[in-house]
Amino acid sequence: MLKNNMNATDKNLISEIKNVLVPKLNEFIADSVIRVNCRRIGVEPQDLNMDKLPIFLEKIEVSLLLFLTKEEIADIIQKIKNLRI
Amino acid sequence: MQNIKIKTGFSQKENEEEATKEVFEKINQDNMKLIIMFCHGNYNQLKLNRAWRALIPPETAFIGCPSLTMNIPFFRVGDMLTNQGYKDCVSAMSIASDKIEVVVNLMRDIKNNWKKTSTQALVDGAKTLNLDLKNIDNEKCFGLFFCDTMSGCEDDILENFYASSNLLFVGGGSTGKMELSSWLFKGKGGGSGYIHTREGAFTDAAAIAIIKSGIPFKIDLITNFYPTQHKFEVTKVSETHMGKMKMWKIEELNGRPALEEYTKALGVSKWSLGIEHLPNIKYLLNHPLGFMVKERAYIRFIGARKGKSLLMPSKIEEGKTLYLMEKTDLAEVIRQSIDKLKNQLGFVSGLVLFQCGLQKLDADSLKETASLVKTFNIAPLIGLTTFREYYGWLAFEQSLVLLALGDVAKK
Repeated sequence: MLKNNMNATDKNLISEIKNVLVPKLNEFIADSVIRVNCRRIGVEPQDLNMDKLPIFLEKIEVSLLLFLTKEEIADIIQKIKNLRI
Repeated sequence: MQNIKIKTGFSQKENEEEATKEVFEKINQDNMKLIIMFCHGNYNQLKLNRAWRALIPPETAFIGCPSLTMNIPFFRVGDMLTNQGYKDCVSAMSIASDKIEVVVNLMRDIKNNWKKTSTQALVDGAKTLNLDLKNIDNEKCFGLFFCDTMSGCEDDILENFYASSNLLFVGGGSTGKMELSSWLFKGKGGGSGYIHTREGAFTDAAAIAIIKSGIPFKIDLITNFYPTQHKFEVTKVSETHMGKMKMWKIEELNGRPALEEYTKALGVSKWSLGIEHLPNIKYLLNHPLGFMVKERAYIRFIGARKGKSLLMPSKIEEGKTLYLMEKTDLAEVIRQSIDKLKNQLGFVSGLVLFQCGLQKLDADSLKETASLVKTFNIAPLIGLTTFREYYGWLAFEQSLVLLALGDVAKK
């Protein structure tokens, strides 16, 4: 039961992160940013959890610099940090 | 005092050895860390590579590739961008600086072994430059990436580079000479996307130059499109080949046959798109699919139709949403981007440009090439006509991707 709950939480996390990224980046770039940065920290997107979120956020900052300003990135990072899953 | 010296040169001599010698005499200087070479696809790539290897000093890294070269009715591309305009030539840039370290690594047999060879090239390069791959400072390190586009695996390689490191790349696809006759009559159309390094010139290959730089630099991607109200969800995709080239076959858009949805949005018959082996490139380049991030468009080009499907040279996944795009003023967009770049760097010591052959063709038909050359002419430059442009860890089409080098002493 606990395992199922954890999976549901993880699923919510990636879906909530996507909800923050897509309006700024389009689905194409948002999915790619999530996929490649999850690979960089050694997890599948569906396995991203709150424990790994800080390192994930650290990694996506550089990726986002190709598309957004530092201010816009800071805003996105804050929105993801504020997520309540 | 300059911290970086960049020299460029080109030759239009037909003989490979003579052309190489002429270019080398123009770019030769002390302390060359890197030579980047671009050439027309009509040159014999093996002879050209031998000629370069005979001249380059042992301590100088070397990387290069031929341009997308096609000469068919209504579609003639292949020229290199030089400070004196677009030329049918061999061109090269030498970069000399005590503040730059470069390593070039070749990858072969990439169709079958892209993951192993690309990871190895990256790891070996990082070791040579004493870099911690996971913690590279993106303001002090970048990569150049050239890939044989016939391999169809550049998307995978680029993503593998970024997933394994912190390194962002710029570059372009090497396509070489594409023969119309084989394309039309044998169905084997496709180029010879040679990759040049010190090891030789090879197809089914790619190469990276990892550059550790104490010189400021910027990378950028420039496109001239905006979205129309026509929005498509890609609902069915499979992989196929057009001649030798790997393509993604979009079978359905919005749950309906892709060709029907696309032509309906455009209000034209399927014949406006040409036929499978002779696509109407001039029409298709005006109506690509894509999306926006802020003011910039990212483009997915429709290469041809096949049955009720559309063929796309770039990887696309089901579930993605793309818009039918419309063009804006190319010359103006490029002028604004170059101005912004000059302001950011303060001084530009060199430019390396990767311009999609379709963008160049469009500029030709609008008679805008002279205006573009004038805009680019702010520093020694070389430019390649590409098929697919690489930006960060992603590949796009109908784009101009550029690397601009500054100089700390002149900022």
